Amino acid sequence: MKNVKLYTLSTCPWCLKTKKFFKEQKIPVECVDYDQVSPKEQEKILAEMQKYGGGNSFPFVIIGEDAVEGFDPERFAELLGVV
Amino acid sequence: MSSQARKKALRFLFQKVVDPLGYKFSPDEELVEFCLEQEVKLERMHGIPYCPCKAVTQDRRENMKIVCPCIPFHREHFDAMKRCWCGLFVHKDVVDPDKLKQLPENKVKRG
Repeated sequence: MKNVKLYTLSTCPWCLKTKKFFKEQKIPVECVDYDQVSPKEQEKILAEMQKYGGGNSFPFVIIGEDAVEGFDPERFAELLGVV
Repeated sequence: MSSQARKKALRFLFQKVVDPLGYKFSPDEELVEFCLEQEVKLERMHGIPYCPCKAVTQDRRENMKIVCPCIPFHREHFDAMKRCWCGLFVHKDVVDPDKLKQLPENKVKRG
């Protein structure tokens, strides 16, 4: 199974939907709320998001080698191979 | 000011800003209430009602681009989605916001 990492915000409704999606699919994820970590950690997160071509928008989901910016359950399922 | 009163004030203020831009509050009232609630929290924390779905950074200039309503700073991107990133606002002709997807800015075709 591919590793899944979620970068989210505690204030973002689409991040909550994203967390719910992976919970319902029973897929283990590593999840970090950007707004709940130190400024230094935040810089690292933004740098990683930018490495994947992302900006400053959440949710940001890394599935294996691919990344998805935004809540896109169809794309999540496709990358997870659960279509 | 209570959270409820501040949400009401933000609704009043935002309505006047987004209307001339061709946008309105999403018909999804639950989403609107949630986003406004988060913006009130962010305003209490930072002094500014930032977008609840964008990263507040140490860069004040960049942060100004995510002050709600941030439509003017992301016009091409949001117009392509017919909604803003968090979905608080949608184009005036939108009836069913559930049909609108979040598209990454780099996936939006530039004309």
